[in-house]
Amino acid sequence: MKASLTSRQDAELKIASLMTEPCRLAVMEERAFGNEWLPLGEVSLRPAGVPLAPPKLENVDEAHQPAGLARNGSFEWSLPSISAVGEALKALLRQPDEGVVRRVLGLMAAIGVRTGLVHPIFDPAAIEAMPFRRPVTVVSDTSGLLQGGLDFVVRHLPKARVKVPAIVQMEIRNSSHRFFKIRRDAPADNTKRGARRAATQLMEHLKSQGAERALLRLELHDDVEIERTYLLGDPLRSAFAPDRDESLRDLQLSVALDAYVDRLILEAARHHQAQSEPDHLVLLLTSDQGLARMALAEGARPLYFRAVGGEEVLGQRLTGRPLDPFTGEPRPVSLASLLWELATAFGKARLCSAIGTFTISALGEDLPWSPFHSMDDLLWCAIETREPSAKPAHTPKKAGKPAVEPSDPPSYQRMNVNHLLTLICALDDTHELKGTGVAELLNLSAYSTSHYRRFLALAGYVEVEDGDVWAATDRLRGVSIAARNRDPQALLAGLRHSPSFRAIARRVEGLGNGEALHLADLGQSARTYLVLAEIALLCASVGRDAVYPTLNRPGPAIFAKLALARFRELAGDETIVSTGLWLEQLILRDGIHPEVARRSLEQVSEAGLLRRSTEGSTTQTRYDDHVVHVLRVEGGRPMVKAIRLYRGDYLIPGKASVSLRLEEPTP
Amino acid sequence: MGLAMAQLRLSIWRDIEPTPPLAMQDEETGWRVITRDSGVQQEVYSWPLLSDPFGGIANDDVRKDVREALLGPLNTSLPPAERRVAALDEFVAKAEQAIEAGQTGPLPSHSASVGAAAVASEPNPLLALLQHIKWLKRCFADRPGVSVSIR
Repeated sequence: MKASLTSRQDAELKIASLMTEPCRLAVMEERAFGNEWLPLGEVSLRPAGVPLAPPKLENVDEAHQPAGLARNGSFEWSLPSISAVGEALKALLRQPDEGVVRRVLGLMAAIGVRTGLVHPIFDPAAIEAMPFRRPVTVVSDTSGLLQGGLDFVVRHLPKARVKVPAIVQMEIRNSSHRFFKIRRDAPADNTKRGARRAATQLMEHLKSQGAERALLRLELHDDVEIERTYLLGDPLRSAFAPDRDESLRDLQLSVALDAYVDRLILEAARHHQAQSEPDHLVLLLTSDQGLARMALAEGARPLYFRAVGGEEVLGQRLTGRPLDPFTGEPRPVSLASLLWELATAFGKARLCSAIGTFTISALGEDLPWSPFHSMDDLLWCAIETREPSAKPAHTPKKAGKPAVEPSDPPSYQRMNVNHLLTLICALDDTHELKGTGVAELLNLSAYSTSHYRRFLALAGYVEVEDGDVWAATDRLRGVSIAARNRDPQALLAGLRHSPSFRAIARRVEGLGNGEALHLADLGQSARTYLVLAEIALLCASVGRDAVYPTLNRPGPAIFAKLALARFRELAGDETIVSTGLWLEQLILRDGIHPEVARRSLEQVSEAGLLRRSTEGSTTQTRYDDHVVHVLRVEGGRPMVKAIRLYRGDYLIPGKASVSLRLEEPTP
Repeated sequence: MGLAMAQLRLSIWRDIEPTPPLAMQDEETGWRVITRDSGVQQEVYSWPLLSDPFGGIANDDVRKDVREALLGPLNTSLPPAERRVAALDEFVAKAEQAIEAGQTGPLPSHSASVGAAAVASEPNPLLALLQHIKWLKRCFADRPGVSVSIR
């Protein structure tokens, strides 16, 4: 896959060929992450009022073509939760401390602010004065640039004249120098020191390259004039270079003085104020509380904003058409500008769909740089498609074949499993449904049904024909019968036709008993696949966050031994144990699904291999978050039921069973 | 189906603090001095809703519910003390729920809206509004004496 220098406009055309379905977004800092990707959720194009048109469809205007949608911000970015990204970062950075992860998450959030998807959190008094009726001068410090405040000013405050003191540029250069110094050294190893280096490398990359891009972008591409302040000669040197003059030792000038940088920025603002008319407003843009307080104390006016935290961006769904905070009009953010910002801050970014992968690189061992790259805003891009001429997802396919070829890694869909079962049965009954009929059946928007269409089409359950008609295949009938008959084995076999479910099944099958299944990389699709895998008896949850494989199907004699052994371990000197606890021990220790345990206990009890008795006592609600999903059929309709294992209403139908007693049969 | 939003404007107000105090003619008392405690507020932020943010919600009940969650608690007939920034919480929760449930999309073509055609054809107007309201909440949540209205 050879990379070529690409403009944002050309990239949008290439991205368009992938985006007839949602794409997974990921970023990489190759040294810090060891060439692994950090998943950052899913991006999907959102057409306004018309179906998503395939590329080059001539009868749809340009604005509704995928490239046009990417360009005019008609996309949504669904980000993974802060805990999922935090955990992924810990794994990639080899377990750095919480503080480091929090700082990295904050720097990641700043990317969203710089692109304009999220606004900085301004002081309310500052917002009251916006969007300034008379010209004002805004002098930015480094945090103003890095945390997206300056982008906001340029984007939304046309009366503001922007000035960036030279000291800001020098701070960014220093950060950049530190980043490249670490990068040139040997890659971080698996020691604690290596983990610290990886974290530092990532943070310096995010800070220096992100801020450099912001400065270049504003200087070269936005319609804004950035003025430099005078250099202040010697004081600049003293701010960074150790001064070893023995006669000045008492002044500690050999210590790097962060406050001195603040002082120079404040002095730059005062200098502008001195040169302006007395009633001209000069504002100091910063997210640094100390600098803002110093400005207030010295009679200068801060334009303070709080840096947006990771928790305010991650876990959110963001639109590429945010509204102007003062006029209410949409202010589109092109998808390429988001990808460019991510690629520069991390080094690489990529979009993946079932059709192919689009990778953008800003930095690499063999990637040269020249000034024209910055002037024309060019980055190195490569596209890898499974089919060179990617076809739209709704092109008719042969019976039983997926509408879009599966890829590795597969495309995970976010669905309500009950809706999926309803849809499968309805398609089985009616043989075909129109897309609008599906939306009506499930009470969802047409856009939301696209997840179901992709899942069914990729599994070969439906053929999506011209006119958006979903026609059921024999495969779908098999799954429908398995679900209606509550036949988990047949259901599992049917679900395996789905490439995404098959990938999860393989993941589960690669685990031993008691080894946790991780689905964080699936983002918001994780719950869908967890529920599907649970009703197919592949795995079961223990508590809220842990999922374990349940592939063991013991015969009656072995089950009786295992059941009794777990009971005795839990009971100790007691005569009864909590049923929920016993079921969870069978999941954890023996890989036995509660549905299997429930049926097997019935069998061994009837066969006289064990004696069981249960007690109702008070219903246990304390552990109501210990839930396993199972398949049930009501009124001939299959549905998912959430079983609370500690409630005592599960093990024996119609009989309270909060606690359980097991005994060997009397001879 | 659509809601005519032409006149709607979201405003943020805060207690007026006149220094020195102001006074006005009052029919009942004759002469009324306006101080910080008079309950008089000034508009400090004003923002127009250029398109119907609820028109893209597929389900009628959900659409009505989300719209009421925004318009009800911010009605100017309520005193400022009942229209604090926290009054936006219910709308945020319901809008998030509708978006997460996949019940939102673009405006139907016949939906009423004002402004440029581009505004009328927003792909997910409720999401854009939600993002903006969350930003306002973050900015103004802690400032004393602030109220929000839609009129």
